[in-house]
Amino acid sequence: MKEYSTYKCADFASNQAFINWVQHPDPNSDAFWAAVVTSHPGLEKEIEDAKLLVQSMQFEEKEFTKDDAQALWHIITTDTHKKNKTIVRYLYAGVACAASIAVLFGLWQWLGNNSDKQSDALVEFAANTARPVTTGNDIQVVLSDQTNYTIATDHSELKYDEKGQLTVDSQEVTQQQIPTTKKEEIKFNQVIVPWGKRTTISFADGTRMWLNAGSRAIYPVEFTGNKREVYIEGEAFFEVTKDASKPFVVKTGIIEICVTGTSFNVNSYPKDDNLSIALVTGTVEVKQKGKEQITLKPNQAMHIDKKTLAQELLEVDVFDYICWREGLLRFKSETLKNVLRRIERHYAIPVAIKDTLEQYHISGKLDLRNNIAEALDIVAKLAPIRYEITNNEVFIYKSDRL
Amino acid sequence: MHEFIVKKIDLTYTDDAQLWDSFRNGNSHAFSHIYKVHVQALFRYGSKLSPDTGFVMDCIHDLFVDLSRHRTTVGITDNIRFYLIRSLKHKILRNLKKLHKTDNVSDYPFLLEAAFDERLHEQEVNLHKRRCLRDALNKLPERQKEIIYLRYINDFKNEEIAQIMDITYQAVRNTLHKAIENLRKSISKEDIILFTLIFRNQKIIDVKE
Repeated sequence: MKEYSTYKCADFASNQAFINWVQHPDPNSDAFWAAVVTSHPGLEKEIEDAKLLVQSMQFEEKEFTKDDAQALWHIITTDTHKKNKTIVRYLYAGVACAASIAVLFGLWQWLGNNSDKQSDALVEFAANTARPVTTGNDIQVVLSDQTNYTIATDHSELKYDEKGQLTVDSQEVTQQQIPTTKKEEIKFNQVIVPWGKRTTISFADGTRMWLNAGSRAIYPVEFTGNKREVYIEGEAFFEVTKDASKPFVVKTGIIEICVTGTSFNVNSYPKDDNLSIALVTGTVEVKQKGKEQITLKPNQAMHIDKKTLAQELLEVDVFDYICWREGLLRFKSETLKNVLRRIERHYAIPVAIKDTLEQYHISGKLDLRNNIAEALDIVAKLAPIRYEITNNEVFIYKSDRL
Repeated sequence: MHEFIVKKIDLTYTDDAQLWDSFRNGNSHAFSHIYKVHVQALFRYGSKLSPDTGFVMDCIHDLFVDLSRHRTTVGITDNIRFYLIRSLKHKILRNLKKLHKTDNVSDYPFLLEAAFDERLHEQEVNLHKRRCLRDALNKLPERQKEIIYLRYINDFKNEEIAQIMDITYQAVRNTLHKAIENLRKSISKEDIILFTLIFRNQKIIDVKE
């Protein structure tokens, strides 16, 4: 035992036998180290500190569940016999985060059945105008004088200046001046984004709105009055410029989202079963008829079931909700149907599900900047499906494996 | 759970060398056992080198696909965890280099964050010391953090750490010593403060008497 007489705290803390004792004590080692302390009374403090040091070596670890391990093993074994390797991060990025049940919402039918209850000029205007033309190739801007303006670029940028002057990709668009005598009659503009396109709209107050494929937005030519109101169908991301005296209100018919300055995502496609609002920064208030008003905090999302109108408040990774702006799609426990709907809208080609596959929930990430076959290849790894692509349609079948 | 799996394997394979040989001879059961036992440690270590979970999983995936494809030509080992961790690190650093188009990977991060359960330590003095240690651990330089992690969490010997980090045995020893001394400073300062407090109180009592 003499060998310990020159030991200092650091020597004990890096000694294998000492570490073993602290981490996995047993009666033998307890007796041994007790004897060391007794025979070297001067070392008591050194040993005590060393023990505390070793005990403190505990660190935060990311969660890697048995399911994650199994999923990764599945890809490893399938790739072993292939020429190429799968890029796992497109499949499983974010697996180590808390899971959430993602649901989306459509409101058109609801709106159609209940439009008599809506006395709102904006919502009424929306109900009385045509639904987005999903087969058209170009983004359409319907101006207040009912003239149509089409934009051929894939990711266009619309900008309104303080006078309500619209420029599209830096080109001025003239629209009929509102006669001063009729100023109280609010004029609306409408933007329709077909499948396969996206657009950004900047308003005179600096607020920006990103519109995803297959969406439409209706808004006044100028934000007059004490509110800034926008109607949305489909998916939009907002960065709202702060103005406490003039709240920004996003309407979808079934809910109203009221904000002063914030960034958030609204997803409300007519064909989908659910609606979602996800908050990135600031706060928003969600008002649904017959329900209590709910305030969302950052990284929270509210999901509303279209059939039951039930609300669900969730803690989420908001990147899942907003990565579409970068051409990515990330989903956790999402229904196969919803994922395929997104693919359909993004690639502007109808996807028909031929077998009953509704029950499948999948998690993963898709890079939609690749072609549709690459995206579907990845989906086929996550769910037991196979697909056929024809000229103007995609067919999804149940595959025999699994 | 983790220990249970390890024990179960020990029944089938007496040691790492034998398990590794079974894998090299094409025993798929051995290969999946190796994966099951080590994937958690690999993921955790990998996550210290990159915060991108998908990227770390990609590297683990590539590591096992490569092992499986080249099993007849991979070298022998009697310490599988060491072999895998070292291989994973090479892979991650090589891929990081590609990703960031840089040759300078010697200052890669080591995302280690100390944790302890405050409920477990009722003693006020120890609790305070633990907090100091936690803060001191978080402030250590990246390479000291890495050595500490490999030493105390992965139970690697200094020789193994030297190979994983591509430095000399002596450098590992010295760096580890330095790290521990840094940590100890954080709690011995506290001792001095505590001592002065007690001493002062003593004095006050003395005066009163």
